[in-house]
Amino acid sequence: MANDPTHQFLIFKIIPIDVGGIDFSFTNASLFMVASAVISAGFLYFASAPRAVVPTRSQSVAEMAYEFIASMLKEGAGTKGMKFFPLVFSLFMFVLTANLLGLVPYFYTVTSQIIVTFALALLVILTVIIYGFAKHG
Amino acid sequence: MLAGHITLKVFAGFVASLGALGAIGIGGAVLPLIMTVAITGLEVLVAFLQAYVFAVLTCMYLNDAIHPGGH
Repeated sequence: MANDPTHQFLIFKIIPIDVGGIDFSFTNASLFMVASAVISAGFLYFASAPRAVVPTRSQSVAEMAYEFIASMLKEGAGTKGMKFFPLVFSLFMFVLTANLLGLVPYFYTVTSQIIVTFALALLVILTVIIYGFAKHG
Repeated sequence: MLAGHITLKVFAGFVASLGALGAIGIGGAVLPLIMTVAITGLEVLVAFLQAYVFAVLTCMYLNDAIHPGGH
């Protein structure tokens, strides 16, 4: 077991939930998805809470991430694309936090599951299709 | 992330297996140990790169949705 390289990807149920025969259990994967969301949101909130003119170290990191994605979005999709900034920034921070969390030994790497990256990709592509149809018919 | 973690675990397993073989094994275990450190560095890079690529592709698709007609 100690030398089995795929053992780290085992999913186990923490809180078993069953709704009408469908498995909605809270697993270790769910736990780390919640952790990534909470950590990325919490970091950005507490880093930007002081709103200092001369930024502290964490505020400077948060601003760097913000500016990085903001400039990328302006460059890639124009100023009209900035209305999608919350989506792109959340996606970036979530994937980055999930990946970095996964590097900690004994932590679960949610992005190693194809369904997680597939769901995120589906969110993006459906946003693009629905917005494109709504805007341009 | 899946491939990186598996590679990391395999090389870390080599370190443990070789280390159990005695003095020569411990000497040989240095090589996979260096590999493990290198792959960990690579994984940090990939962790950032995956988030970056995801965001870049999202921007490109959003650009297609906002400005159709390929300009």
